Amino acid sequence: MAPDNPQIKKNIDLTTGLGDLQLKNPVLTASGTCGFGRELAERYELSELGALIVKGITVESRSGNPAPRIAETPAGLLNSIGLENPGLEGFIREELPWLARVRPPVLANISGHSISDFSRLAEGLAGRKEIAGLEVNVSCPNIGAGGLAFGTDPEMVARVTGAVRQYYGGFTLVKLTPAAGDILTVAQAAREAGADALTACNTMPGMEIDVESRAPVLGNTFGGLSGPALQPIALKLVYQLAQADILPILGGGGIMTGRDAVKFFLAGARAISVGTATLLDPLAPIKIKTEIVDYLKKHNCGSLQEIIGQALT
Amino acid sequence: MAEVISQTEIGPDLYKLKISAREREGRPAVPGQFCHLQVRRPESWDPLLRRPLSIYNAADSADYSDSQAESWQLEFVYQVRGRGTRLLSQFQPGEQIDYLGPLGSGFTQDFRGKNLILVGGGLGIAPLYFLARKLADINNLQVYLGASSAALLQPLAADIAKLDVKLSLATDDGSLGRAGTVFDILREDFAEAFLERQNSNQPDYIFACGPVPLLYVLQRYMAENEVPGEFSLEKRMACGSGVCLSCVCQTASGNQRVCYEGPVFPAREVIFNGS
Repeated sequence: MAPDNPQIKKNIDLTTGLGDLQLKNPVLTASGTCGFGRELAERYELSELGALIVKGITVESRSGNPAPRIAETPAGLLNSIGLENPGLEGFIREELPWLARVRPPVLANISGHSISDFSRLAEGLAGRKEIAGLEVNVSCPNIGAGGLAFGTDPEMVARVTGAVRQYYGGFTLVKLTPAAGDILTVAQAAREAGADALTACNTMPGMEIDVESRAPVLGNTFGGLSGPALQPIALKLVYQLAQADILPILGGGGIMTGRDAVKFFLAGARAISVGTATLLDPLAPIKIKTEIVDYLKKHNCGSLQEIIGQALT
Repeated sequence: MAEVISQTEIGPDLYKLKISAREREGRPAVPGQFCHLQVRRPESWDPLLRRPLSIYNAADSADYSDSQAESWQLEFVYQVRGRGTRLLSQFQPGEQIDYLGPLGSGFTQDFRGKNLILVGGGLGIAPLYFLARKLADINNLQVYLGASSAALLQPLAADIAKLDVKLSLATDDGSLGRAGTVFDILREDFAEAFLERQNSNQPDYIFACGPVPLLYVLQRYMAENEVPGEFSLEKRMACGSGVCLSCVCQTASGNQRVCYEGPVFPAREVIFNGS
């Protein structure tokens, strides 16, 4: 039976972009939930993804935080993995050759505890053709400022972004923290310092306490909240940022289904990142992509672009 | 997806769950591997994470021809310890349950005509039945199992007791087997064997699963007596597929993922201090 609407016969156009970064589809994997892609590649073709944002790296290798590193909370997950990673040199030596063969664009996530950490990471990755860009994690504590997260202070965000920009000419995303008091000012600061796009958002600081042992559950006391519990917070930030039209937005936070992803598109995100959902089901990004197509078909949309920002006033 | 075949309470808060999958996700299960079970109901996101359960028993390639692989069965033995396992215990026969697996590494199995020892403490006994079943007929298998009391140990040891193994039991309160820990009775039984260099009763290999304090003393004992072996470890786990690094343990070769490189590790490699 022929479909009533001729558009349904056509392939749905999922292409999108974050500034200059062109994506063949809008589904990215969030940093810290896909390793360096090796384990997920055992389960599906990574070329199915819009892009892969790999595990955050630091200048030196890190063995991470003490156990327990996770705690389950109502419809949420707290983690304090502590950025366990092979460091800049280990990343370049062990992971980049593999990532060079990975077809979707790969974004490297970088984390630092000082401005000079970010400079060194940007310098070390400058000109690397294996990666399509950087995602700058500004949610880490700034050791030089008593451990306050860089991302809560517009001036520090500008300095971090500027330090990266000084060495790195490629596509640069700045990943915002929901802990920032005034997200618009922080976002503006990132834009003025040269960011190409924004990720909204990172995990929200939180904690869990065991009432039997009467002690914090996490080895590191505090962790970052992700999963469905974070979704309304992230959605609001994306909406606010899109309304202010500061930079293109990669939206994410508790996206578990295609319909969740659609909310973020309607709020103005140009692409979305799937994080915690991958921890429940390694195939989640692929399923979400299929469900986005299903939604678009059901609503007679020929392309993703038709729904982006539709909920904005 | 799998179908729940049976869910039986076999002891205090202790359940045996049998599921049947239309198609297996990966290779045939190996003793020591685990499955990651979804305990929440469809359309619900709470509790969010899956629960990893070691495989208690499974049909494998030796039991099934490829043409029969569409209906392979897996068994798990678990204790209700919190909300997730309580929800799991409420699954009824006929219901669908979402699982990932088999996951992780298994125990080494290529032994023949050897003196092998299996040591299980508490719920750590669960992965040993499948292993014992594989090894019993072609090796001299001695199994040491311990738990707090007879109420827990009796159901955990019941299936192993039916195999061709020499079974030794210990309970903290002496209500079944000897009083003491499973390590106490093992050390007692092998005191003589380790005194003589050429004693034929000396074990060739030890497999163990149980609480960290048990594995810790066992590791030292095995090192002192130069007996190699393997431990199966348990850690809080999120993804079960190697991407999140929640479940890492310290080993001689750096951090390793319990869900991916493990849960079975060479006994001498594991570093128990710290985490």
